[in-house]
Amino acid sequence: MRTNKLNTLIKMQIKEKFNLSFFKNKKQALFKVVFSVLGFVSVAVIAYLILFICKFLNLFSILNYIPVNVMAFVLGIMFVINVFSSTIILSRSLYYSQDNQVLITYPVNANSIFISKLVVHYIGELKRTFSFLVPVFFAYGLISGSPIIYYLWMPIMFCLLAVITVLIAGIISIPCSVVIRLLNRFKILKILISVSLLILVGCFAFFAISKIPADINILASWREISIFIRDLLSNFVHIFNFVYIFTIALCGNFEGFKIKLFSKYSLIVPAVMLGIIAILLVLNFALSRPIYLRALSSSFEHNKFKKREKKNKVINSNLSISIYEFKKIFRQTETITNALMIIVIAPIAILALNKIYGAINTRMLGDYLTIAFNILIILLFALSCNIPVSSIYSRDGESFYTNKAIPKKPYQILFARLMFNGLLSFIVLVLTTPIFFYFSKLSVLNKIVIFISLFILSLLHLFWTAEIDFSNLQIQNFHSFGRAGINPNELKSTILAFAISLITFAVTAFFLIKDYENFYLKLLIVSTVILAVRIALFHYKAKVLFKEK
Amino acid sequence: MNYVVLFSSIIGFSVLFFVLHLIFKNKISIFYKIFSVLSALFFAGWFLLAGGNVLKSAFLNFSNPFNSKFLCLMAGFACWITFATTVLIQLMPFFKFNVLKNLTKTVGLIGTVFVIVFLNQLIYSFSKSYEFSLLGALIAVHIGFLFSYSLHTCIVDKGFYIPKKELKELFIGLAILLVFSIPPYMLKLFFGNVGTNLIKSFEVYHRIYIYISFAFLLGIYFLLRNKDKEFCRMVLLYISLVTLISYCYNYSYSIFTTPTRWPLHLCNTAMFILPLCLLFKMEWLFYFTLFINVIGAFFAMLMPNYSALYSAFSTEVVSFWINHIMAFAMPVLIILLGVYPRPKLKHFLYSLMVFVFYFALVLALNAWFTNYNTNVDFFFLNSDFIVAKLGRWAEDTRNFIWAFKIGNLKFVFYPLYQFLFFVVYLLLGLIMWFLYVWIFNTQDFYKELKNKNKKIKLDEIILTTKYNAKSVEECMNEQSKGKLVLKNVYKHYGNSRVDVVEDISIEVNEGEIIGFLGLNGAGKSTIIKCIVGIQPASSGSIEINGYDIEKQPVQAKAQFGFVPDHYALYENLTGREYVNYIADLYEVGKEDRNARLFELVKNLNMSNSFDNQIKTYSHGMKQKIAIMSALVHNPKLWILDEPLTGLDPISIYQVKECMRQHAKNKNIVFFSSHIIDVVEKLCNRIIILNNHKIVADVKLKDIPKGVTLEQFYLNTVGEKLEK
Repeated sequence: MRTNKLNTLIKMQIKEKFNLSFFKNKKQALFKVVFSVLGFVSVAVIAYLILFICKFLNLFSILNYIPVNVMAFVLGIMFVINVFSSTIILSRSLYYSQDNQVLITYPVNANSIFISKLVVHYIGELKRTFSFLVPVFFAYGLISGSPIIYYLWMPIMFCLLAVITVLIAGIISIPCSVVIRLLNRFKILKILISVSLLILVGCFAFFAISKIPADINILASWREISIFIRDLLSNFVHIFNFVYIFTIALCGNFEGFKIKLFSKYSLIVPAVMLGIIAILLVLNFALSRPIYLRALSSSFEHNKFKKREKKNKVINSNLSISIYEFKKIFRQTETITNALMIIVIAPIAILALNKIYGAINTRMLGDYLTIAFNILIILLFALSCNIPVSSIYSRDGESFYTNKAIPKKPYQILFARLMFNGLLSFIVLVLTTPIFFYFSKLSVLNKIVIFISLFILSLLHLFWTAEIDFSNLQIQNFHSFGRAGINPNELKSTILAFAISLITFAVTAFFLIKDYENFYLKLLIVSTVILAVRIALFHYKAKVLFKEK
Repeated sequence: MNYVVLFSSIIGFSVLFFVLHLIFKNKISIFYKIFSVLSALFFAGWFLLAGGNVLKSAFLNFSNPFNSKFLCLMAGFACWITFATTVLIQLMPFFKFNVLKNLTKTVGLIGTVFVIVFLNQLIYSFSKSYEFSLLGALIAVHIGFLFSYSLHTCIVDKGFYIPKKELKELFIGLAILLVFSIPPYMLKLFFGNVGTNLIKSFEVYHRIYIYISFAFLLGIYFLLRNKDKEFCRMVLLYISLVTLISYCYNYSYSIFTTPTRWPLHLCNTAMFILPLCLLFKMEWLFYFTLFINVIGAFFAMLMPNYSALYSAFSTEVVSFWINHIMAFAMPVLIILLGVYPRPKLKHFLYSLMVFVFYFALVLALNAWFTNYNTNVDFFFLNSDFIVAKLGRWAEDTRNFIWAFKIGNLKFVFYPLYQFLFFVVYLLLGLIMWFLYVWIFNTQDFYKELKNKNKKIKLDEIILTTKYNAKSVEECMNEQSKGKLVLKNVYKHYGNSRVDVVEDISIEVNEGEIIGFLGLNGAGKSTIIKCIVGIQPASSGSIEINGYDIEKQPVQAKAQFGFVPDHYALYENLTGREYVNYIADLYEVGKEDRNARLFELVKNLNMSNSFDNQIKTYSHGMKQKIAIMSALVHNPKLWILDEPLTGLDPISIYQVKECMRQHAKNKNIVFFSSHIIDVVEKLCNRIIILNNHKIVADVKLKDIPKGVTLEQFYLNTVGEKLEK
């Protein structure tokens, strides 16, 4: 009976979180499969190319191959990142998801809810693993000439590893929830910690940047660089020997120039993994039993304080939407923290990049590529500020519909919500472009034109993302979970950001190399035209479709 | 002598047309069609006989075959008009559009007069001699036919008169007629060697040609998207035929005997396939061009295979671009304009089959013809043109060779290179499939959007006309002022045929409190959502204080305050902030706002928590905030959807008092509820909904004495259930 209830909980949440309706439609299923395969192949191809270049340059070994310790390093870093991100995602899902309010009322014990959430998260984690780690190791198998059985063995091992990731994240989420509750209770503490962390990161970054030598000659110091990298890998393997052993069990090891997949570790490691899984399961079960229910229910408690009576303020109706939007945003510490992070990290990144480029003795082609890369990185930062806009209307949940009863035109309601993100990307541009311009030899006019072009491109992405959300509202997702677990709009917006940035980079590099006059002005004109078309289309769609949404 | 032949043919054809018209008045179109086909064959005959034109290598300012710039220019124009008029007259009998007739009467007639004046120059440009020859005679006969036909059309259609409304179409038709029939040597003739070394590798003229190809695609699409299929077919057929003539100017009869010169490149085939597909329904061939030719032409435009030494306006370059722009844009236009239906999976498979056949044919012909001409390279399968652009690794694939001899002939194949070429092209074809699906979905979406926008504008016009109002912002229906009026409202969701509400007609006057009752799922919330504009009604009209909610949404929404069933609020704001925000949207002044909020906060007992965040409120408190925000602007109509659910008794009392007071102030209160007792005590009229229809609309005082509202409701709903 208990198992039945657990099954039901798992099935219910999977159906809600993952949109499996495409199975019913053959064409959609075909599209989904094809795109998944294309995604897998793309990552594998990129990984293959990177590994090929490293092999060609003898970066990791004087012999022409990629040693296993490289993949051990990759796996180690990715494992830590996965545990970290899983902890955050799982904490949200376990303690702050909107559906908890309903789940907690069912005749199931808290353990079942906890385990069901872990299982659902595991499926998401598997998806992420198969989107990135598996294709990377697939590429490694190709480049190392691994036997065919490797391509069956490797995914199975990753399935086991994903279980460990999720279980570790489950355990860590318990003390995390305590910390999060404490920080939510004392907001000032949250702000202080965030600001302190940012200052620390900033200081460390400036220190690291100041250490960049004034003259970098990669070719001349190639030998030192490759020795440094090999030493780093050796030390990593020495310190984190278990990661190395796992990687050997996963990928095999080189004997001469041939890779031998199965060794004694191929039996020991999976057995140990199963043992670890068993222990972690017991720990999860034991720790969650007394704590989870309490942690779950206290997430929905709010403090009440007596407030001083304030006055009614009259604001112009056209500005009111924007001003209250700012108020809502500033009361969400997560949004403000993310914004501050971008504002701090972006200029540091551009400064580091330009310091490195400045230290490299480049020819004209190098100078052009430097400009193009700067534009790429600046755009990526600026456009990342717009990605939250992919749920700007959806995150209102059911409140969105009240907008339709307001006596305002659709574009007034929809456009006014975009001001914060537009302003944020403007600030990012203001902080990053002067650093880029300081290191470049561009004329004043070109600098102005580039700045305006970048701002227009960020506005283009902003309006396009807003249109993506408006056209495909995820209201139900936000209603059930408080946030959309897998938000397709966010993915589209991210892909769009990369596409705009990469296209701008490619076009800039191409036309600079071709030495075309007035290229920057043409970029400005083209981006302005596209922006005008985009805004007009959004306005048009809003006017026609608003009442049907 | 040429003029003798010309005038003889004019007289002969004129008499013939006149006689045929007299005898076969109603069936004359059959003869026109026969003449059209015969004249097309005749034209093709002398055109191939000529095998080219001296103007191809001529320049106006030097190397002028006429020793006079003026005559050279006129010869160029004469060729131009001949091509244009020929195709125009070929199409006339097959398409019954006025624009063709008007063009024949104007361009056809005036143009052929011009050509007649410069007939000798026209003949010289093809025959390279002023001496009388067979070719000259054939050309003269052809011009005579064109003139006679144009004149005959003019006479039959009552002269030069063209109605004003057809003039715009005539000018657009004239532009298309002339632009696309321009011979490939005209630009070089006028402008000389412009843009040498700038015609490849994305230099300026290369880019201009690429822009032109996209401009052509988009321009023709936007010009013709609102025209019917047959009209689009006519225009596209004209363009494909006239560009085929430009493409073929270099060819003569000898090409049939020189297989190595056969136009078997992928994009060359498109020039012949497209007119055939537009003339006859040839699905197999057409979808082959759609999936295979388009992508090939696109890559050819990016990597043209002519020499960089050519100028931008040289005949070879212009011919190349005409060929590839047609191969790239025309199949897409044919589909987008609906001339051929959108491709299904079977069409994709057809195209693959044709491609396999073409590939195999070209492989065999390349291997065979190389024995006679080493430059043979159909579809670039025989040379390193493509691999040279990709790098060493690609060039290495051509190192795998398979050769054998049959008699004296040696057959050489590059199996790895050719196999990879085939596979990559197949994948590209598959990618095109996905791309087309995306394009079609986008096209459908924007078409639907446009239709909806048209409907909105039309509704506004109808509304203003109906009520003789100056603008949509005025109160349209004075009779509905102070009322809520629903007339014959129906609602269904999406494409469902099932109405969730049927034929709802309600009229509520000021001072009334209406209780809206019904079972769960009867349609109460749907009607309320239609009234407040959250969902549009499928048909019928809803007027609030004289404003139509569909056609004057902004003005209508200013007339009511709405309390939804699930208090959708912004929980990070305080109660005061939220209500002030709503008051800002309704443009409530400071004094009114302060006065109303003071009263409402007092009456609803919210003084202690009004400045706390909404997320700290209980359900009842959130409901009260929703009520306050709905009343802050003192609306004429107050709509509440199950407002009392979950409230404590004191809160219920407070809300009821608000409703009574609001109605007392000559406003309307319209609310739905399940609590019969409250409805009985509060309302003066009830409306009962059952099975998506109104089954009762009575004043409470009209319910028989001794019968409670509960009994009345159950009887009303119960009766229907039994039935």
